[in-house]
Amino acid sequence: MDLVLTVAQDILSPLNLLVLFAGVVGGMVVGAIPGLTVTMAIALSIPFTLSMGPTPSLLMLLGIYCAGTYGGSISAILLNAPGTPACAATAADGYELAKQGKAYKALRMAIIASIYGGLFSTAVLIVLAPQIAEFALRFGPPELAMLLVFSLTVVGSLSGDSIPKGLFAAALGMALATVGSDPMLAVPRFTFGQFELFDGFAYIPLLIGLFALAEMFGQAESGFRTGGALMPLKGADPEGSRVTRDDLRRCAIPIFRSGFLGVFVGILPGLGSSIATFLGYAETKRVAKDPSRFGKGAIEGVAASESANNAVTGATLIPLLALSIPGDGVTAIILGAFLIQGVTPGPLIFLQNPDIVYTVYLGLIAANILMGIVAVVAMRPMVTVLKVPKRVLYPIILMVCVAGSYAIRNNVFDVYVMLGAGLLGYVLRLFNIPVAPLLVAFILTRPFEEALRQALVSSEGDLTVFVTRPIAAFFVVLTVLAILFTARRNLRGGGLRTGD
Amino acid sequence: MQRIDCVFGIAVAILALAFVSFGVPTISDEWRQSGTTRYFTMGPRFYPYVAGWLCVVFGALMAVRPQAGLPDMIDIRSDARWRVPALMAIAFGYVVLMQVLGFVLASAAMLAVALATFGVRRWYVILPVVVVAPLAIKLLFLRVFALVLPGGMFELPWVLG
Repeated sequence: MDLVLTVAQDILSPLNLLVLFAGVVGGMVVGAIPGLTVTMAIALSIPFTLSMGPTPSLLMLLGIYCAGTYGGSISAILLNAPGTPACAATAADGYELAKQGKAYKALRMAIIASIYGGLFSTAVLIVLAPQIAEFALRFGPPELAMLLVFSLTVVGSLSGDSIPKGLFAAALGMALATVGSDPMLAVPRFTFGQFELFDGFAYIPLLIGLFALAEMFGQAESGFRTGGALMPLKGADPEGSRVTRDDLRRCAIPIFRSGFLGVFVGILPGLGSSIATFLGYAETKRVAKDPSRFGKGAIEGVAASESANNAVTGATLIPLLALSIPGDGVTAIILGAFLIQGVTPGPLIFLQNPDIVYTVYLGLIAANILMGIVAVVAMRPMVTVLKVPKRVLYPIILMVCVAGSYAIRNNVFDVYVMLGAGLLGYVLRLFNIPVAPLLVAFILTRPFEEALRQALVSSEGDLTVFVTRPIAAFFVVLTVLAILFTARRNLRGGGLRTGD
Repeated sequence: MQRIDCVFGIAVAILALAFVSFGVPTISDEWRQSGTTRYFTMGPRFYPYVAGWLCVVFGALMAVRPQAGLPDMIDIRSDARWRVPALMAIAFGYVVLMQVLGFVLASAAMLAVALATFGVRRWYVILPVVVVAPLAIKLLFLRVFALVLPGGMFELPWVLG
């Protein structure tokens, strides 16, 4: 309890609150601008965390993550252009409400649902993560290797629309991660005598290129278009701007149900908030007494989709904190931020760095509360950001990309890596290949290779070590089931779809 | 038949095959001769082989089982075709220029060119962005986050202070 109070006191210090506030405002602004994604915002903010301690850097990233996920609803409701793919379902009813002069009502309901989703998933994180971590303490190299095989398979096969494409992205990430010194014998691989490559590709330039620069190229292709006409915040009828008791009563169950669905989807690697949102929205519409209202301004539609997408935020941190497995692009970047701070997530973090764990818990709670305050107080100035033309914004972002990539190691080589990664990300995007599995595989490759080789050294090359130990065998079975399930889904031509 | 996936899949499979055939064997295999490493069953080539062969397999799968619903060719709007190469050229030129002129001057030049290229014509928009944004970023990195950006030949002493 003392530690919790100490961490709470640390978070409430003026400097840390300022950093959290900056993260929340920055996240909300970036999330609100169509074309700028939460992943891009987190990638670009990593260089700024280099000179910070673990607490402020985590607070900033969590603030961006939570507020950015909500921020997408602002442009979804006012512009009919979701700021983030996860808010696409919000636009369906939110924009209709805005056209009826009820934009404020939709935005207020969105923030209520988002705060609930965020806090509920934080509660699940607090309850589940230590249990999973305690179980994971029994893992040796064979169990860890098979767990990572399972994670890579799931992330690869569930991200995007095609299993071969997702798995190819993961394999490409594995191949890129082999550049640099071999983790067991320090033999250089594909370094071509360049000393900059001895540690492999620097992580931050790679992710800035893959997520920020590639997105910029994609936006350039679409001509930096913004979306529909910007709706006014307030309509002629002030009553229409209020969230009434009747609205709350109608939305309560959709919010609870979507929060649960969001948490469930968030825990599974590779799915992401887009799927959670559509599941929450579709389920609410399915059980509604009058489903025909949906798409024409049903407030429950906004509530359900926003609760679901924010419920993903805390849930995705469960495998990250407990097992050191990032389930999507955002958590992969947050894992990188942990590593930069010298903290390795995983089961041991609960024993060795409990202060960091409490910082994540309390930081998420604080970020969600602050997000609510900022949304209520500063909605009007926030909306003016939507008027900034993207053709002005993107050259400035290019400048930040270059500055951030250079500042990591004061090295121009890293800037070229960032440009190359941007080009690669753009090409993958052209061929409809998801980028998140590439990044997740890139990060997991080193621990996976280490665990695999350690397991085979200890078993003297006997491969049965992966099926004779019960937990390792369990993950092998799960991997096979995951492949069979996704293959069946793919053959039927239906299934899930991620936008990010 | 989605030709785009077939072509891409075949290209991936061929490149990955070249990687495992010619790239991976360039990794030194001398570790086997060292007596201290006799317990290692897999060397530094093992994992690149795995990654390379996976790329071959999934490339081939993309070619034989293309994703449904995709067009035969990449569809880029004709009026947008020049924008991506232009942005790439601007980005590359900017990095080259930054090493000579330093961050502030190269950024100012890049912003002016990029804004003009993408159709921003109003001087009262271009001027503040070109002047203020590079200086603000430089000062933010240096003073707030203690991160150094390239000074180049014309480092501004008053910025470094």
